[in-house]
Amino acid sequence: MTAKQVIGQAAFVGFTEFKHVYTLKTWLTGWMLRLVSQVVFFGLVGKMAGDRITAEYVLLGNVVTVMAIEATLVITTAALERFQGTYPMLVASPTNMGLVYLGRGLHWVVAGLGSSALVLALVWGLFRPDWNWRVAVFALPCLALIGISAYAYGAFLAACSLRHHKFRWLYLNFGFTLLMTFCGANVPRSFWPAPIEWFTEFLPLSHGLAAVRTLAAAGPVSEVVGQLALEICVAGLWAVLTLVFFERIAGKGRRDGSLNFTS
Amino acid sequence: MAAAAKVQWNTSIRAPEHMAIVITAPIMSVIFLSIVRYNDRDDLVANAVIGTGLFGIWFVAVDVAGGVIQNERWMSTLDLVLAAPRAFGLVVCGRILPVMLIGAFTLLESWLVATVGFGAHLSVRHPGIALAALLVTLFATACTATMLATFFVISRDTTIYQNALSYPFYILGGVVFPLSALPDWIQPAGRVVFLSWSADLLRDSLSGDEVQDVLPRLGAIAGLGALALLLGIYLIRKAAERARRTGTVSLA
Repeated sequence: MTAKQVIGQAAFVGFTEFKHVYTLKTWLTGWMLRLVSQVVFFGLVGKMAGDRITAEYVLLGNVVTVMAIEATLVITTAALERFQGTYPMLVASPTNMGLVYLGRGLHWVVAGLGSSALVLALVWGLFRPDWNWRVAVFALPCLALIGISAYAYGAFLAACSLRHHKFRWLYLNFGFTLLMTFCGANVPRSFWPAPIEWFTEFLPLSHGLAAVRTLAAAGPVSEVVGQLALEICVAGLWAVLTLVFFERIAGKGRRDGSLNFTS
Repeated sequence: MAAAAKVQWNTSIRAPEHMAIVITAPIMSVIFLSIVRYNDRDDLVANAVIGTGLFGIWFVAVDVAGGVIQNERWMSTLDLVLAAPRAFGLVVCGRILPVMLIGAFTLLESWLVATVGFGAHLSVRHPGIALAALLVTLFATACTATMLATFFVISRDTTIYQNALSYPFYILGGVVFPLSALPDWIQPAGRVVFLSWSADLLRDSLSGDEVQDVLPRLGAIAGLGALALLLGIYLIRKAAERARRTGTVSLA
């Protein structure tokens, strides 16, 4: 099979499974309620600490972060293969297991795109922030790119969690909270010490969020395009790391017979 | 309740997922403190520290309440527990109580992040009141999470409702910002959530001013908690009866 076919088949499995995760009712009363209230919560924290501009800054940052949070949910999907007993078969197959995982959770990117777009619309309606109309028009492609880079980052963390699947929730929570904290969602990245700010250059969300902020402030299009290009580079970096790391995990698992026996 | 507490303690100290909040709470603390520091509002450091602590306490309680039901269901022991003569609500409450210590630990972590990481000076001006407020809050949290466990009994996937029961309560409970930050029409709803009383009292115990109406406020927290426990025992019984009748105890 070609790489495209592997990713396509893995994505098909993921989408089929996803139909059984939520009903429309549980998605609205469970997941969406959480996401909207999370964004409102941080918006109110921003309002308490600063003025209307601060609140709008924090609101926009957290709306966009919704996309990254949902994309990193691929970390929980990775452990499914262990539970279903299909993990050794994937390792035994001739293709790179990382390719499977790069397709296996793509439904989270699509779901995240829907969630973040809806949250953006609701927050805009509720708070009437002073964002430029361009956000409404161009948010979707920006969110999609952020979703893909956060997904590749999540797939890398999923690879790490395979050897410690009991810690998979820890990897997930730590993974997206790191993005929420340091990638400019609540305070500018320049607030952090220089080494941390430098490191965030390589994390998903940083550049995509900067692009959305530029759109909201009616900034130059060239800057938006430049930031989105950097976000694509970040996505590529994490995708390559995922492929390399999965190969290493599979190789080690074959050597020491630990594929199905790590905690 | 003691037996349930023992089971949960032995489970939690071997379950890394129950300790997740110990790792994520300091990061949440960093988020709140960074917003406060960036806006030159060091007067709000107490809000950030107490907010993170309450955040952790509530998170652990809801996480365990959902986890108890989900695990019993996976292990096929939910039917047996519901068939036992003791109220299942008491078992759930007993299992939540010991993990409240993990939740309370996040308060200490948050204080450490503020003082060591951000160089903030935060002293507890009324330690007795702070300790009493914390203990009553832990009790009320366990009781309220027991009531919310009703959702988990009737739900196929508890994770969905565990997610939904987090941030709405942080908003209505005013854990970081006071209830006055919310629109007028929603503030009365916040007063029904014990967290709003806890957050106010804990914040006041850190300030230098004299704390007013300590006993009535402690009573409000304890009263709301006790009410939630009674309601929880009743609702869980009703939900369990319905599950028995419809044959959905293990197959919700």
